[in-house]
This record gives sequence, C-alpha cells and structure tokens, in this order.
Amino acid sequence: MSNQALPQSALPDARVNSGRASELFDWIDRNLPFVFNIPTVVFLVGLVAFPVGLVIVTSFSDWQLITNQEASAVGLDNYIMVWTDERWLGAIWHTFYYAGATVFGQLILGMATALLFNRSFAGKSFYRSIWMMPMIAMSTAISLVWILFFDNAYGVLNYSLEQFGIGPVEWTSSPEWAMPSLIMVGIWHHTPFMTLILLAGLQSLPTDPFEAARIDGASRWQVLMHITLPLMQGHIIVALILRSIFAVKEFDTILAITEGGPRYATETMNMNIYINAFEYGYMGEAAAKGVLFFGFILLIQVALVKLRKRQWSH
Amino acid sequence: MKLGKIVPAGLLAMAVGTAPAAAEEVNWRQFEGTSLNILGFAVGYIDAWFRPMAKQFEEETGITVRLEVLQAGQMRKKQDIMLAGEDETLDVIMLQMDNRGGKLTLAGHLEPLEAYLADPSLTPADFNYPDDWLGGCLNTVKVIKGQPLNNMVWSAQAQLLHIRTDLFKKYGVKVPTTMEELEDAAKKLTIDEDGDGKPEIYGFLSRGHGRLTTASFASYLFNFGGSWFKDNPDGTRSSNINSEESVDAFVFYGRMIRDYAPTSALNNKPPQNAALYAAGKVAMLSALNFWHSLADDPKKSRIAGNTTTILVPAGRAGSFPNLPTTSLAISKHSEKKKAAWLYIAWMTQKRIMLNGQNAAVPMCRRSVWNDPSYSAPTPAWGKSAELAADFGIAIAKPQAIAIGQMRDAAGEVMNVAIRDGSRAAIQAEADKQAAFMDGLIAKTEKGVDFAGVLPAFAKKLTMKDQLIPIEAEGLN
Repeated sequence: MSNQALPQSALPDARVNSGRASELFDWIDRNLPFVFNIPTVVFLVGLVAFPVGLVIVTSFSDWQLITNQEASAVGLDNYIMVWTDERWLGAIWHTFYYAGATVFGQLILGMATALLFNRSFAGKSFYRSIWMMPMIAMSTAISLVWILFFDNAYGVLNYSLEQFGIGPVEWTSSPEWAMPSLIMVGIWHHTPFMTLILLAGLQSLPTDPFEAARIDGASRWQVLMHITLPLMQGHIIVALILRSIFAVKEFDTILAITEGGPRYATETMNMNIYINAFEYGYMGEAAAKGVLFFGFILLIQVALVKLRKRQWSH
Repeated sequence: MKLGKIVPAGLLAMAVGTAPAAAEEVNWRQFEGTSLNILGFAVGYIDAWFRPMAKQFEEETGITVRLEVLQAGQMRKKQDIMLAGEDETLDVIMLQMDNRGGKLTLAGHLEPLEAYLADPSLTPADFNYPDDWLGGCLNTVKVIKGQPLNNMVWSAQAQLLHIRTDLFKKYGVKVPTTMEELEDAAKKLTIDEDGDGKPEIYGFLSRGHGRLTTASFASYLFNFGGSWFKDNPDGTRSSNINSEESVDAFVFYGRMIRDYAPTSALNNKPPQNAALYAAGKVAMLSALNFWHSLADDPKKSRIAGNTTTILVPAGRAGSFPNLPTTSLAISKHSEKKKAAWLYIAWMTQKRIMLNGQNAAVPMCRRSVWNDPSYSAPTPAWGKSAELAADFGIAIAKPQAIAIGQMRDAAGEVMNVAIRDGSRAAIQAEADKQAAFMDGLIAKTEKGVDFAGVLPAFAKKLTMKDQLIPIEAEGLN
C-alpha cells in the first residue's frame, strides 16, 4: 500500500538508497570492533599523538615564538645544549627536591592521620571532613591565601613567630626559604589525598593478624612496624606513584607563589620549560626539555611500578 | 582669460582640491554591525576609562567591542601565541612599545598606520597627530631604526614618586629633589612610634621583586648616569649594567629597599605596594602615577587627601622620567584593519582622551592637559605627570629582542643589591649578567638596530623643572 502511495519516479531511488544503507550496516556489522574503536583512535591521534609528535618535531628546531628569524632544523643541538644550561640543571635538582620532600612529608603525615581516623572517637566524621578540605580547594585560590600568610612584614606566619621571639623569616623572598615554603604548601594541600588512600587501605586489612598480635601481647609500636606497615605496602606504593607523578608536575602553586624565584631557587623543570617557551619564546629548546621531562616521569613510574610488582610477588 | 580672473580661479580650484580632505567628516558608523576583538592588560585605567569608552564607542559606531582583559604577563603570552599563529580574529592589541614593541615590529606583526592616518574617511581632520602629542610620548613610539609608525601612543603613565604630604609637613622633612635628599627623607620618615623596634611607617617603598624591579629602577639608573646598554665605536651595542654609574645606582636602590622599605617589598607586585601605601604604612612610594587614584580614594585609602606625586629626584646625571607609555596597535593579521583603525582613531580623539584625563588617567595629547574642563587631582600630580609626559623616555626595560631574559638578568643584579648590598658582590653579579646580556645581543640581534633610549634622546629637565610640582603643591 505504501509503495503505491509513492510517486513512480521515486521508487527506484528509494530502493537504491535502501540498498546502500543496508550495505553500510552490513559493513559495520562485519567490522564492529574496528568501528567501535574509531572514536578512541580519533581522540588519541587528535589530542595526544599529534601534539606529542609536534613537540618532538619542534624539539629538533630552533623555532622562536616571536622573531624575525626563520626556524631551521638544528638536529640534536637542543638536546645537547640543555646539559650545559645551569638553570636547567638546577631545575632538575629543584624538581626532585620538591617532589621528594613533599611526597615524603605527605606520606608521614598521611599515614599518621590515616591511623588516627581509623580509630573510633567522638566527632570523627566532622574532623575527617575538615581534614579533607584542602584537597578540594583550588590551587590558585590557596596560593593567594598562602601569599598573604608568607608576607614578610604583615603575614600571619611571621606574626605568630614574633610572639615567640623568633624571626622574621623571609618565607618566599629568600632563596634559602623559598623552596621549603613551597614544600610546606604542597604538604598542606595534598596530604589529605594521601590520608584518603591509606585510610582506605587500613580499612581493607584483615583483622586476624591484629587479633593474634594482641593475644600474643605485642605493643602498639610492634603492631605498627611488623603488621600494619608490611600489610600496607601495596597501598603505600600506589599512593607514592600517584602523588609523585603530581608532585613532579606541580606547576600552579609554584607559578602563583614564587614564579620560580627568587634567583631561580624554586624553578622546577616544569617552570623552566614554561618560562623558556612562553616568556622567552624559545619553543625549540622548551620542546626538547619537555621531551626530556616526559622521559624523567616515565622512568620514575617504571621504577615505582616495578617496585609494586616485586611487592606483589612477595 | 585675464590674469585677474585666473588667479582667483586657481586659488578656488586649489581650495576645492584640498577642501574635501579637510572638510570630509568621518562616518563613524561605516562599519556598523561588525565586531572587533581587543586584547588588553589589567591596569587601573581599564575600569576608569577603557571599558566605559568601549561602551560609548559601541553606541556611537554600531561596532561591537569584545574587550578581553588579562593580567599583563598572561596577556603578553596570549598575544604572542595569537600573533605567531597569524590569528585573523585578533584586531587591536594594547602594548607597551618599550617592552616588546621592537620584537613585535621586527617579527612583522604590527600594521603600519600612516595610510590610515592620512585617510580622511577614517581619521578626523582635527586628529592632529603628532603635533598635539607630548614629546615624551612621541619618544616612545619608535624603538627600532627605520620602524614605520605602527602604534598610536595614548597613555602617558610615568614612574613618579608618590609622597605623603601630611607626614612631610608633620615631621618638617624637606621634599626631596636629589637622591641624597631622598635617602635623608626616607630615614627621617621611617617612624617607630611605639619604640618596639618595628617601624609603623616605612620611609620608602618601590619594587623589589626580581625582574619587575627594572621598571621602577630605571629612573634611578639613568639619573645616576647609568644605562641598560651602551653604543660601541664599531656600531654594535653592549650591556652597560656593570658600569661604575650603573652599579652606583644598584647600590643606592638596593640600600633604599633594604633599609627603609618593609620587607614585603621583596615579594610584592605593584598592586600590593600601592595597597601598602594606601594603607598608610609607607611615606614615599616609587610607582606609576595612575596608582594615585587608589591612594586618593576615601573608600579604599587611609591617606586620601594627603598624597600627591613628584618627579623622582635628580641624580648626578640629571633627571630622566621613566615613561612606560601604552599604545594601541592593529594586528597585521586582522581581517578588519579599517574598523580596527576606526576604533583607535575614535579612542584617541581629543574629546575621548579628555574623559580619561578627567578620570586621572594621564594622556598623551597636549591639548587635554590645557583644556579648561580638566583639573588635576592635586597640583603636584598634574605638574609632575605633565613634565614626565613631555620630557620622559621609555627606559623602563632593557629594550632588546630577548627582553624577558634581559629583565631577568637585571633582576638578578637587583637581588644581590637588595639582599647583600656590598659593592663588590653587586659589581661581580653585574659583570656576570652583563656578559650574559652581551651573549644574548650577539645571538638574537643580528642586523637589528634599536634606536635606543639614551639620555641624549630626551629633552633635559633642570632643577627648576624638578621644583615645579613641589612648589605647585605649596610644599617645602
């Protein structure tokens, strides 16, 4: 009936279109795994492979962002030159100093608070919520608050120290204190995340070994050192992997609080790359440093993952 | 035809021939319906003048203005990326020629403006550029030899010395005209009222934070006889920050910050310094003159009515007001260059600039300073700002292609000057950074000839000029 309602001239076209659609659906059916992967491939190529490829290509050039000089290929020059760049070598040290100190501080404090919150006491939920608040605060916002705290003449930190006859300390304006100040902010900001992971780990531990230890008369310290920490190794390594990735990449708080200064004392690899690319316009050099930075992060992660695998095999 | 008829006829023909250009009026609505993207940096005058004028421009021309205002550093980065990418959507940019004007000119990102300026359909007949522009402002327009006119300078912001008139009167301190008097005043006005060893009022405040110090230090550097660069006999130029005079200036400025400023100066950026001054914690602030509007605002300041500005005191080489002007320019890659010029021409007309002038935004047009409707916030502010706009030079930064690194290098010397203070240490750091700067010049400035902003380039201020603002305020 419906065919009769159509104009005669439209019938062959409709059949052809219907045939093509059917072929298309057949093809999709036959290649379903491939078709389902198309969005992922497009996403990865467009947003990951292409930019990464572009960075790698740029790293072999002397391209400058705003200049009257044409970019040219310079081979491995950028990769060789960085090893004589004192600021870059300093930035490597600053990166590992910052990451090592913040992650270590977060681990100690995170474990201590996780053990505390694993116990029962009045108002535990309330205190736990308060403790977790820095984790959800925006980096730039907390940096602005810390800048006020750090003020040499009018900041709350120096005011507090002054009450005990100490100071004043030049928190972020002296090369000696600037990095410890940033580490302090890093520990304050990210310890709650460490607490969260370790607390989850503590709550998933079996209760039998602890009961057995208690019956055998083990002290709290002995339980911590010989039962809790060994059982927690897996969780600790996961927390270390996650936090060390983020600590090595830390950028926004450093930019907002010290901008890499004073005297480049807080210039991490990330900051050095940013300044070279967008402040100085040396895109080729910055790209080479970016590739090396990526390599460093990869190495750290491979080492930590191997550590975790070894722990699993135990 | 008799000669008696030919001459008048010829004159008439000449008059007719020239009359259209003179009489033709700009049709401000010729680009009605279009839109312009403008990138500017956040400073006090954006809200005082720029934004309100953008709205008025929209009403008068029918052109929509999309004004994006970012913090200066972020704006420069965004501008660089858009210009390097030859982004056609960026039409008008706000820039300081003494900062990156040379770099952008050499890279060919700024549209030459002569043709637009000469076009009577786009430029009002009474626009009067450059005759109506103050000399100091014009000094800052071209930074490279042979550079075409590619920016329209409008803001005559200058680095001046903000002073607390009430404190000078109360403690009977001489308002300084020389560097020696400046230090003496700073010493006397560093006041510990309760005797706890911590001053309630500090005598002096200026930038002490890394690379930012170059802008406020420049007047001190040049007044002492130093400079960022020197011209060599072979036609090249090299760093001059390690000369005896330059190091003297570093020693003096470092001591002023170390001995008479709150230690916050080492962290602070200009807004925080201005806030400390407005809070009444400081007797003298070396900063741009537009910060006066904050210090004199009774709603935001504790010193309103008791503040004014004077020229930075003269040094042994004289007085060179630092004039880091702001310009408007058209992106070479814009698709709407004529509409963009119409915006610039509209914004820099006398009647529009007069609005800014009356909102305490110092302007580059001479006629707005003399307009009967204009009255300066304080007599000394008006006189010092006008002298700076007329005599100033663009010395705020070491003008160079690698300007970011040059500023960092000078900032390193300043760090030593403030924190260590010994002449030997400052000289050693200056020698090290001068060698670094020379390396940058050799690497990045092949075939580039910066016009330079040397004292010889400027009109010379006399001690009599130096006293004009002070006397206008009835001080000393």
